[in-house]
Amino acid sequence: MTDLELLKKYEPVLRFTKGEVYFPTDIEGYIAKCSLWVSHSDKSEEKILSEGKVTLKTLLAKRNLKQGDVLYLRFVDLPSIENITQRILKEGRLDMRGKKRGWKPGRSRLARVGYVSRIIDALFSLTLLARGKVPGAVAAIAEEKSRKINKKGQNYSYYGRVFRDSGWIGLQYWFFYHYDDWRTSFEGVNDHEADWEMISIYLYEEKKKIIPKWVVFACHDFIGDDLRRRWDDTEQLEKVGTHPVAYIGAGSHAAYYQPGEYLIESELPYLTRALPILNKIKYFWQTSVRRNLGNVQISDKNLTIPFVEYARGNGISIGANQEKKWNPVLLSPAPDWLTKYRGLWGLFTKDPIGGEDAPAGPMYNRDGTPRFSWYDPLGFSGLDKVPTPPLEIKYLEDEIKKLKKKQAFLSKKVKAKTIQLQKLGASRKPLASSPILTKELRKLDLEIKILLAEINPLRRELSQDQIVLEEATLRLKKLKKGIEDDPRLHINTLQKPTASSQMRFDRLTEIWSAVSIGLLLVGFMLILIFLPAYTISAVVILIIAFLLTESVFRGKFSESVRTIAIFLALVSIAIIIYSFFWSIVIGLLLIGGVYLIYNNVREALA
Amino acid sequence: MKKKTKVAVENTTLVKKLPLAILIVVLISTLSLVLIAIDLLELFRHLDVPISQIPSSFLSTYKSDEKFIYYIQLFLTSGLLVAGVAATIGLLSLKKWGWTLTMFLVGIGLAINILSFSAGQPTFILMLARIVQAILLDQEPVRSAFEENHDRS
Repeated sequence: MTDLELLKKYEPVLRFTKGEVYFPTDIEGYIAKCSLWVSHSDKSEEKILSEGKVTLKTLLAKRNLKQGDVLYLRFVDLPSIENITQRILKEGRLDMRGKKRGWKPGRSRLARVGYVSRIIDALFSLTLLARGKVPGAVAAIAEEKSRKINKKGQNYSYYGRVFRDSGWIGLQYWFFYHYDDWRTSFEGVNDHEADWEMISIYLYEEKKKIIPKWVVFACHDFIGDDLRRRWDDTEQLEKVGTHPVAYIGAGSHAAYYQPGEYLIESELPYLTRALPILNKIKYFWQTSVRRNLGNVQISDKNLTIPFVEYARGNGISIGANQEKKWNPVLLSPAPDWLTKYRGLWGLFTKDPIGGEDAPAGPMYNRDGTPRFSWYDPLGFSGLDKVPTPPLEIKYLEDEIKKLKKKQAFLSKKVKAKTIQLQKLGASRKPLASSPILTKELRKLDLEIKILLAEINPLRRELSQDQIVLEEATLRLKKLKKGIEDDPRLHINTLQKPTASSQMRFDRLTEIWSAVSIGLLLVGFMLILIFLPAYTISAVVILIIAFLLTESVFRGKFSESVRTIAIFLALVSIAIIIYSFFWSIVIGLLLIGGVYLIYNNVREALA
Repeated sequence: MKKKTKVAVENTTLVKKLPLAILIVVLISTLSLVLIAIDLLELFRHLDVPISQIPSSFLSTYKSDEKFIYYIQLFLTSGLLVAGVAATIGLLSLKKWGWTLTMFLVGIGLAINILSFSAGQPTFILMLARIVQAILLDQEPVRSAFEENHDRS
C-alpha cells in the first residue's frame, strides 16, 4: 500500500458545529490573497510583497532578516477607522458572528465557574485592551475574503504525512484554516489569522498486515498520554469504518472525541508560579480546618480562565460517507514551503501571551524552533515509551529470559552463602559453651554478621525478581492470547463534555455571574469615594456580601456561611493569641505543671 | 390520648437527642440575646419616644439630626434580636435553617468584634464566646444532627 493509500484509508471524518464558517482547505488560495510583511526588532513594520504577489515561490525568496525580525503573512490589511465605522453601521456588532450564522450559545461560561476564575477572566479581558490583539473588524473582513476564495467551490483539503519510527507507522493529517474566530464568533479565548490543526493515527505491522492502534487528536497546547485513544475504545472513539470521527470546536478547530460543550480552563503563564502556594493553602484549609480528609481536591489548574468549546457536530461533516469529501495532499517529499518557510501564516500582533498571534507552519513553532509534534510525534503522543504489540512481546520475552538467567545465578550464590553461614553456625555452638573462648566467639559472630549482610539483600532481590518474573510471564501470556488492558489505563485526565445537569443555571445566576465582577469594581470605587476612612473594613464586608450573594444563587448559602464564620473565628483566635500571648503561655505552663504534678503524685501513691 | 402520648414521647426524645454542644451554643446565644435586649432598652431610653411614634420620628430626623444614628442602631439591634430569637428556636427544633441562621449571626458578631478590635475597643469575652459557638456548630456530630433532621423532614 502506498503512503497516499494508507492516508486515504484512515482519513478522519470531521464534524463541525453549526455556525462554523472556516473549513480545512488548501494553502494556495489563501497565500494568493495575502501580503507578506516583516516586523522588525525595532517594532517597525515593513511590507515586502503586496497581495497578489505572494506565491509559494516568492514566499521562499532569500531575505536579509536580522535577529528579532518576524516574517508573517497578512490575510487582512488592517482596516481604517472609516472602514470599521461603515462596517458597524452596516452589520451592527462585529463580534458574536457565530450567532448570525445560526450558532446558539450555551449556558454562560462564567456561570459555570466560581469567583476566582471570574476575577482572572476579568483581568484577562482588561489585558486585551493593552496587549496586541486581532482587531474586531478583521474577523468580518476575513470571513468575506474567505467566502470569496471559496465562491467557486470549497476545496476540503488535508496535508498528510507518513512516518515510520520505532516500529510505529504514523499518519499525520494537517488541516489548514483561513482563520480562527473563536473569540469574536464563539465567546472563546482568542482570534488569529490562519490555523493549523493536526490529527494522528498510529499503526503497526504484524504478519504483513497493518493494524491501527492509537488515535491522537491535537487539542490546544496539550501533549502526552491524555491526548490519545486506543482504536478499540468504542466508548471514546467513534468510527465510520476505518475512519475515526472528530468533533471540531467552533472557531478554535480543536478536535474532540465526543460531541458536546467542553469547559476549557486556560492558564495564564504568569500566574502559574503562585500555584504551589495556592495548593498548600487549599490543602491546609481542606484537611485541617474543614476536616474534609476524604475529599481533598488539589487541582494543578487553579488560576485559570474559563472558556467553552462548542464541539457539537451539528454542522457539516467532511470525510468518508459524508456530505463533503477530502482532497488529500501528500507531504512526501516535504515541499519547500513546509521546510523553508519559518514565518507566521497570519498577522503578528506581538501579543505577549501569544494567543492572538498566527501560528507558524506544521514544522515550526511561532519562534521558528522545530515543533514538538513534528520532530518527535511519538513523544508528543506519549508513545515514545510504548512499544508496538509485536515489539512488546519480543521485549518481554527478552526480559523474561534475562530475569530467569539472573534468578539462576542469584539462587546459586545464595545457596553457596547459606551453606557457608550454616557451617559458621555449626562452629559457633562449641565456642559459645566455653567461657574462655569469648574472643574467638566474637570473631565468629562478626563473620556471621558480615555474611548475613551479604545474603539478605540477595534474598530480597531474588524474591522481588520472582514477582516481576511472574507478572511478566502473565503479561506475555495475555499478549500472546490477544487479551488487552483497559483502553483508558494510560489516561490521567479524561476530557469529557459538560453534562447537561451541570449546565442547569437559571437566568438570574447567569446575569449575576456576568455582572458580579464589574459590580465589585464599582463597589470598590464607591468605597474609595464615600468611605475612605474605612476602606479596609468596607472592602472586606463588600467581598463577604458578594460571596454570600453568589452562594445564594448556587444553592450553597449554608456552606458559604460556615466557611466565612470559621474563617472569622480563626482570625479572632489569632487576635486573642496576639493580645494575650504571654498570659496564654503562662496559663499553658501552669496547666501543664499542675497536670504533671497530679499525674505523677497519683502514680506515686498508687 | 394515644396521639398526645406519642407527641409527648417524640418531644422528650427530641430533647434527649440534642447534642450537648447545641445546648452550650443555645446558652451562649441566650446570654447574647439578653445583652442585646439590654442594649435595645438603653436605646429606647435614650431616644425617649413612644414605640408607635418611632417611624414618624425617624423620618423627621432623617439626615438632619444626630438622633438619626440612634434610630439606625435601634433598627439593627431589633433586627438582631428577632433574628437571634428565631435562630435559637431553630436550633432547639434541630432545623437546618436554625443552624444556618445561628452561624450567620455568629459570623456577623465576629466581624463586629474584629472591627471593634481594629478600632481600639476590643470585646474579648464576646469574641471568645462566638469562637466557641462557631467551633461547636462546626462539629461533625452537630452538623449531622441537623442534616438528619432535615432529611427526615
